[in-house]
Amino acid sequence: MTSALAQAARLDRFLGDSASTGGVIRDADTLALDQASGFPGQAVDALDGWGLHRAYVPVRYGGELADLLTPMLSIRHLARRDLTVAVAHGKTFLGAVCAWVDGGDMAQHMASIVLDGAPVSWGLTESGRGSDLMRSSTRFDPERRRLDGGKWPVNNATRGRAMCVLARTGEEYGPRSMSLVLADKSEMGPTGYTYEPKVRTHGVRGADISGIRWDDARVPEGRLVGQPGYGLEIVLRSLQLTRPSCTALSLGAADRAVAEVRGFMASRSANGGRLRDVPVARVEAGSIYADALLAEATSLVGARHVGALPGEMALVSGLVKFVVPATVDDLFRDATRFLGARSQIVGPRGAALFEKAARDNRVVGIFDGNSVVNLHAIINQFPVVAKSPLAAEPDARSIAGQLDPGVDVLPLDLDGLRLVARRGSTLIHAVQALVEAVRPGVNAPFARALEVYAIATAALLRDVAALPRTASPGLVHFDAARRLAYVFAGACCLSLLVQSGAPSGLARGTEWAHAALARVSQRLGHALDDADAAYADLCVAADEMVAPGVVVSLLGGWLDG
Amino acid sequence: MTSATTTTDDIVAWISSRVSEYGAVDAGPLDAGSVLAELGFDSVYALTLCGDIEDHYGLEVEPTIVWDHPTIGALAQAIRDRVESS
Repeated sequence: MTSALAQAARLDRFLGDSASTGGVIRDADTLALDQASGFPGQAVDALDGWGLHRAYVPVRYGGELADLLTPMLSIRHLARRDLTVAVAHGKTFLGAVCAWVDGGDMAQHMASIVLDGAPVSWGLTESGRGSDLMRSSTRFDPERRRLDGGKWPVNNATRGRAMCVLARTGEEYGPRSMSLVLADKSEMGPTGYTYEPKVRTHGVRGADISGIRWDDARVPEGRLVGQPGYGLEIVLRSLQLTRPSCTALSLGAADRAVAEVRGFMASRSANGGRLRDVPVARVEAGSIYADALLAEATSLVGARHVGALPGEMALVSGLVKFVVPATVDDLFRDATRFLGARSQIVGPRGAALFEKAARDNRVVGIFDGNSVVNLHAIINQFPVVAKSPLAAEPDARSIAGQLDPGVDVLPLDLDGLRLVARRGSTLIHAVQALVEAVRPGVNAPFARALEVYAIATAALLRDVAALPRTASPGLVHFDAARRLAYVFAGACCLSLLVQSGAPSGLARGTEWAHAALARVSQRLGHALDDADAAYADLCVAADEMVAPGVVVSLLGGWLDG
Repeated sequence: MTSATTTTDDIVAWISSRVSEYGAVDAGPLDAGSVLAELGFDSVYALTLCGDIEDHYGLEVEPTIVWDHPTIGALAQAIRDRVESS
């Protein structure tokens, strides 16, 4: 077991059973706080007491962050119980990450704040200025060391002690006029700042999503994160870590939905028998499990790129941040239809938690760059995607081995992050090789699915190469970017299938990957005629291999530690 | 591809032709003093231009080269310096 898995399993044991009164995050509290839009302070305090914040600080600065999967797997365990708690606590990782990416003088200082258990937030956006960070009007005067302006909406703006703020330090409109400043309330005195009220949100209702304003606020010497003028560059690199991290929230939401669907299948009677014996119900449930595993595979393999192929994260972070929340939104849509009235009512405990998780996941899509922003980032890199790969004949086994989430990685090295993926995605270029590596030994329907996927990928790459470059992309560009993200998701599944040493259970077989690839093919506009059989097979495999109450996951057995 | 005899003026002309091809900008009024940001040359174009610089001059550059050299002339000089030292 990797250190990330072991740490997550320890946290899971600490968190306990959310349905019981002895759990650290209790379902009854989760629902009551959500209804009242109340902050889950008790749970957050318990996590601080346990020391979860240590997972947000790189090993070299005294923490436990050796692998991006360490915080991600832990945050998924939180999100599975209550996504609001995950958002409230995990925010400190996002708030601090710029200091690690820059790696300069501020990193040790930031580490001391986080290791102290203090919440840190990330101030990027401002009211009325949309997603264009260069339009920020918050100013920092480096001579007088005074901060003026405001940030909104920001997770933990009110509760947080310190905020890593993107501020204007130069007069011209341009990226070199932007710098990052650490605005630490404990160094400012109480008169330098005021708050904007909490925003009423559709999901994560209890989270402290609010705003802050500074009026000639004093900042001590040496509080720039990075060199002056390098703020935007550091932010763009940091987003390459935070975007894949956010997908852990979606995985936790999906875990909740799948648990509800499995419970429904096991308990519900239909026409004198049990629902799980009804063929059409197996198809429906299996397609929902397929989306959950597709999202999981993409998130895990996407995160592994940070260590193995950091120079591709500019592209990969956009691909995974688009595809995982979107797939999980689809999953909730399908599960809502499947569960029927049960999905909308808040009476039965599980039903209400499903309804909350569905709302919460809708918000994940906008964290750290919404879907349009991510698709835009993908479109911007079409020219590099269309270029020929560095290796003429990619070695599928070697690539899959590098991206294996089941083995420990070298300590996090963030110097390899680049603003553009110079050669596109190794994994996308390797689709044909991955298909060839998987094909021997699979059954005929899966072999056909592989063929369809390979053909659809080749056609898409030709489309991408032929699209004109433009700063104002149209529908055809966005559709190609969406399809490219699903091609990448399919390649992540094949990568996991090619590498050996899958822990146990579902990941040892091929049912999950066949069903996941059927979901990918459908989204690529090449729906498989026999997809229903693949979904039903996955449903049966999940029932056989995953005990009731255990998460349906490729990391089988991870909950047991 | 470039050669040892490529001058900064040649590079200015090449950048100007790229800029006019990317968008609706007319290459006519462009010169070494033109500020890229004022031509609507945003981060999207910067990424595209980096790819073109790599293809045309065989140089690997980050998009920040455009941030640090905001006029066509300054960018041309930066490319020229890198061509010479490569």
